Amino acid sequence: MTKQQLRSLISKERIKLRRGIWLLPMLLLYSAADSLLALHSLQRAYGSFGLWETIVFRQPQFFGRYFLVVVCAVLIGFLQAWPESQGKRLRLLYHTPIEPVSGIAVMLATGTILLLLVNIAATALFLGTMQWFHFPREIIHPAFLTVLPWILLSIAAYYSSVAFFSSGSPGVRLLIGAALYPIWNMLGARGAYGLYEHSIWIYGFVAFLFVFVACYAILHYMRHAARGSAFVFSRMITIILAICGLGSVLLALYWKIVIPADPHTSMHFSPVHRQFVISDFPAGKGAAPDAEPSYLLENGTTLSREQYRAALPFLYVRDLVKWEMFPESIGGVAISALEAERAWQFVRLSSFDWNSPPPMLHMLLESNPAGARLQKPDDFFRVSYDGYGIEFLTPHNGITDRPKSRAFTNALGDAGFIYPIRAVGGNPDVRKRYDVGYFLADSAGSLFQMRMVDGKPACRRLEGHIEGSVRQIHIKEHHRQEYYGFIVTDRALYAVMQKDGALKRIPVGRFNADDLTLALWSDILYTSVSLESTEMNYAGRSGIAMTPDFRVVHRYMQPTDAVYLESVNVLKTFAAFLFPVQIMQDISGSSFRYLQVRYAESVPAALSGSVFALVVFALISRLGFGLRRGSDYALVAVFGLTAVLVLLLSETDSFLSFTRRN
Amino acid sequence: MDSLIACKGLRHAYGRKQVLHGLTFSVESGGIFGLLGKNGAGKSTAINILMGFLRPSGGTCRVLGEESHALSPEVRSRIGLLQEGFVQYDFMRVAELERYYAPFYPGWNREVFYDLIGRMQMPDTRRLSAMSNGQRSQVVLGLIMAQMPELMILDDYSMGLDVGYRRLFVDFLREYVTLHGTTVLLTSHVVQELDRVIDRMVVLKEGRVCACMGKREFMDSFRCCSFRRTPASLAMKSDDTVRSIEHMAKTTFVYGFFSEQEIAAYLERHQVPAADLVSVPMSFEDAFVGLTGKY
Repeated sequence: MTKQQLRSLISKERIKLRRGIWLLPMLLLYSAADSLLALHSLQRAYGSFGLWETIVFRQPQFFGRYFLVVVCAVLIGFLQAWPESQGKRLRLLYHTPIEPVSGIAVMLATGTILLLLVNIAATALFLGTMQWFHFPREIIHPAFLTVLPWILLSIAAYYSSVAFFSSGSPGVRLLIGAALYPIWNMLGARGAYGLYEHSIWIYGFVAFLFVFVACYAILHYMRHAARGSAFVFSRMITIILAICGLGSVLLALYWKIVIPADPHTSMHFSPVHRQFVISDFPAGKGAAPDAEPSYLLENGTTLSREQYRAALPFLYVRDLVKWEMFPESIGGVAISALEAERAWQFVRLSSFDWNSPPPMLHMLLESNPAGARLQKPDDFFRVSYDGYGIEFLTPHNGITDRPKSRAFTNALGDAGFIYPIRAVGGNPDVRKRYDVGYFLADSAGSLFQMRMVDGKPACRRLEGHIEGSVRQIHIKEHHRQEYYGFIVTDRALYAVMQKDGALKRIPVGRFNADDLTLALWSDILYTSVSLESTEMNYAGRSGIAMTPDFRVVHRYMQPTDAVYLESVNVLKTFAAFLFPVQIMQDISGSSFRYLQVRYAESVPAALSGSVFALVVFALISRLGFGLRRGSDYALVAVFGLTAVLVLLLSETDSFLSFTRRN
Repeated sequence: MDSLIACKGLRHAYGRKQVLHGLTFSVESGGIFGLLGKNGAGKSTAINILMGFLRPSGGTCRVLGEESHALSPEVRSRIGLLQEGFVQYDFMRVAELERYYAPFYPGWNREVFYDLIGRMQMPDTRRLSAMSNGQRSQVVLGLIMAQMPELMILDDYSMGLDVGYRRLFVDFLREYVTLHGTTVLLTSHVVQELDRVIDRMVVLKEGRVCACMGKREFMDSFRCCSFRRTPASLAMKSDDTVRSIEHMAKTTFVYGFFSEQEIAAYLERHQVPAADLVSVPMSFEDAFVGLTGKY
């Protein structure tokens, strides 16, 4: 292709786009204005601090209108593809004395560049809006990571739009829908800020693969004539995208339909019986609406409701008082009902808590307020970019309060803190009764407490050493004042004791920090922990009872309901048969969105499914739909029945002709 | 003389329905060649194969020495293609169309295009979508002519045109062909006008070639005779001699490549009374209908 020819092709694109291109800046400006005004109204209502606080802790989708970049993409695709394909105009492209792929490439490159410019402009407007309100990078970055999936979606939408408007074939349009709909759901879903942080590049790669969908749709017009490698390759990619997309949708639908009734059980350690008591809530089709749960001891002894509640006097104080069943002593310790009501503490920790975007900023409260109630501060703090300090930011102008930052950074250093900071945890809730400040882990595995007392830093080192990589520092002030909170690492669980400021390792044994739900109950007699995970669910739930100083007195493993386990195994096997290759976005124990492709757990079932699909495919091919390519058989062998379905969709035109003939 | 188009044993089917049954014809250099046939004869399929939009199920079709479904850009630059309905980029203005196509054709002749446009006294700033069918046809013809092609393929040039624009189109075409020696293959449903246009022709009937010759030769050799209708004439069947038979209220017409004496002998052999046999003069359209039948 010569330069003049290239110029001609670009000129044609310019002529097509000129009709509607003026809409693009209007949509962008509308998005930017809407976001700006949303933030402006928050600031007017709550002030600069309230604005930051709302963004940090509530994470509203004030930038929701930036989804219009997807509309811009569809518009660009429509402006380019529709005039090119009306009537038999695509024949003009094929008769022009250049390789058709070159013509298609120029069209797509022009549209892609324009779309990238639109997205760059949208990004600039977004960042400008954020800068206008002095937001720091800790807020801008996760907020932008929430807009970025829409930018990637716009790329997929553009190519899909070109493909859709270029092709009049029902089969091709169905393929486009099968490929685009799932990625639209994945990237268009709303949620907390920054959920796509770990996998944004994978989504980007998939979005750009849609260029082959556009190529395939345009080249499909000439499928009865020349079939070059470009057609074969783009068809293959399009089919694979459609298979993966449709497969993910059908798999999710499958589990929604077949999900077995999950028996809800809870497990608490009884100080009366000195063993765990289990309550089993019936669920599912067989259960009556007002069905009572069943109550059991570890040894299977059935308890009545009253007996169950009597076994947990701290938890059911009021019931026992009402029934005049509250004991005079519990475990040999005399205690009144009023004391019992305030004598326990419950904490639930889940891997969802730490496998999620970290807090954007932190709020250090004044631990010694002038009045009785805690007050919100005037600033937020963050860990400095390199981890070697604390920085306090003023929302009013976004400027770092250098003296205050230096004071707290130095105070930590004076207390023995070894930078960089590995983890931070606190509880910035002014409704609590008192404030213990923030806890920071240094690079040597020591834990430090940092408070602000009368505006000045008060830092101290706590006893103990943290082993492993810190996943979360969970701080919760409680009226019992037994613990500051808990620390979860990838190897251990620690309690941060409030009395002596020491770290105590809780003997829960080995666990997978990425797939864990942990419930901790503590009263004046015992501390008990129950652990469960998706993996463990198939073995059971683990319960450990300890004395208040974490000496183990009892262990119990509650087995998983056998019927439930059997149902799940059967359904998993059937899922493997139907979907040998499984595409998912969510993984157990994490709030982040990861695009994953994995082979089914049950390999024999998956292989059987592939063989079955090949047989079905071979039978259908004999009916003469034109499905004879060797590569199609390879796709069916890998992806199973979903591939058969998609390949049938791709030949809808032949299928319609076949049904008409017969 | 090298053939610009050479089709040999061309076959094509849509599913199980066979549309072309071993078409064989060639288009030599120079003059205007008509591809004729009734609706459903296989004309559109043949044209689509020639234009490269269909791959034949069997046989070969070569255009300027290359397989029609895999023409190289260099060969395509030597072919001027008019698609049925004067398909063009409606969103472009006249001047934009000229500027767009010019770089793709080495022999592009701007003067030819603007000469044609100028004759219509049409501003080159007008968009194609704002023009009438007739004006569009002239612009499209101008674009093809400006390419200075070796071969023109015009699929149903007369579609949607009134008699005035059809005449204009044909006159421009004739003038261009005479001046530049371009070879033209065209189709049209307005058969009577082709009499003025084509030099040679191939006629398709039910996917087969039923005549492939010069137009003059066709008119000289294809005859129509009439005689009184009798039960014997009603029982006649068409064959290689009598290509088609038409019965009116009292008269039977027979069409074929025969002389008056040959048909008289034929009828006598088949014991069909034809004492009043007379030769019927035909126009080109009459001859075409006689060859292909009315139904």
